Amino acid sequence: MYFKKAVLPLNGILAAAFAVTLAACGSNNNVEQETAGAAKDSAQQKTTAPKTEQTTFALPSPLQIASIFKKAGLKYFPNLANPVENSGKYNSGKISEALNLGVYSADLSYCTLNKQNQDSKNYMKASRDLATLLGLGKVFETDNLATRFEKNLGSEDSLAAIIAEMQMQTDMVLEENEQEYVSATVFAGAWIESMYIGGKVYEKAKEKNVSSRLIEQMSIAENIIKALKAQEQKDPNLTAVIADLVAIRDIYKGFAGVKALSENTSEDVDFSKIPMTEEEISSLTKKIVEVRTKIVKG
Amino acid sequence: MKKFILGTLSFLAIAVFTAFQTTDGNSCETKVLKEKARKSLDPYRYDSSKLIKISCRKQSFMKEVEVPLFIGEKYKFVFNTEALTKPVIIDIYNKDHDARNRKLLYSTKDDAAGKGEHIWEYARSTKVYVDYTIPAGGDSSSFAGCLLFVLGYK
Repeated sequence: MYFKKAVLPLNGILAAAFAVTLAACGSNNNVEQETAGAAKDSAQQKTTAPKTEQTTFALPSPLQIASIFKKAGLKYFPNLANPVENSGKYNSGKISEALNLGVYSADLSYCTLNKQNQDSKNYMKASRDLATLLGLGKVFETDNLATRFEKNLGSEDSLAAIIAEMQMQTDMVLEENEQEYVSATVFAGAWIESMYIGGKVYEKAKEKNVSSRLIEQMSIAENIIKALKAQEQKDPNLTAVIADLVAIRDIYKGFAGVKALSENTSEDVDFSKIPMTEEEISSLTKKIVEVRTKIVKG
Repeated sequence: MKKFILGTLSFLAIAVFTAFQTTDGNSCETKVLKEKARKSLDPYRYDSSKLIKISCRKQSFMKEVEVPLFIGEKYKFVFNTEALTKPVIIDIYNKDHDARNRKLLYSTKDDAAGKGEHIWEYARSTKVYVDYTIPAGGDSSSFAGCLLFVLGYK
């Protein structure tokens, strides 16, 4: 009796499951048909060049920029980085939070590569606080990254490896959540801070390699502008950030050495070898200081 | 008999669930892809990455990624194509797609079909352009999977 009662719903379930399974397989068959169709289309279109969609940009990590400046002889000067006490000021919106997360990421890299353990620890905490505001707090918990960072204080190489891992996790979370504009804004903040530190150290130490690296860094200003412009509609506050970056780029573009460059050269340009006068470098760093001051004010 | 019916019902529930899972839309196991790419980067240090979700269209088309590099640094490009269902060709040039006399620096065109990872090491230019040529694929909604590009430096 029990079986008889049960067999009817069981038949229904079996039929439903069979139908669903068929539907799933049907989808796969469709994919196969499309693939076959695609191969046919592809053969027909071999003669026409494929159209290119809008170009996207891979922006370097703040750690790599710090590492390039370090290799160029950038010395450590205390009190150059943005004080960690400021971290509480940045809660006026996503763009300010993202820019200052970038600023602190650059400061963290600068301190870490110069073996400033206590400062590294403080900047790690400031970065974590801002990342949490941006919904990226879980990055620091992944694989115990924050704990591992504290345990490895003193080992520059291990700390750099942990920072690189954090960067990868952050990029992954932002990409998964389709928040590439946050990623580009964080990088913009990091780039401005790295240029600020580079400019200030150059003022103090007059290290020629550092000024060459400052000029070389200008080659990616255009990429940051393009990356942000492509995402400008995501947040109205991005327009002002883009305008500041354009102002920096335009100063650089007005330099005699840059103007002399032929755009159609087939050779790669070594930007670090473009001749610059002291006045030109000074006008560039002055503008960078102005933009950086605006960012860290919050 | 009760056990038999319950067992059958459980089996069917799993079968139905699995059937729905396999028809899931435009998602990829990004964590798995990134982990594999990260291992392949070694001994280079992670710099940046780009995950591209690819949907085929009636006609073949191209996506371009501009990658800034710095002179004096060494770079490793890792492309994971395991999650792609259609063959996407990866070409790397010294100039963008609009430039007339650009040089092809690297291509996966002649790589073995089904190869899930492509690696290229480089240390010269200040900028390179990664072009993905996506084959034609019927209607615009045909999802062809994900391609992960990870860049490392040392």
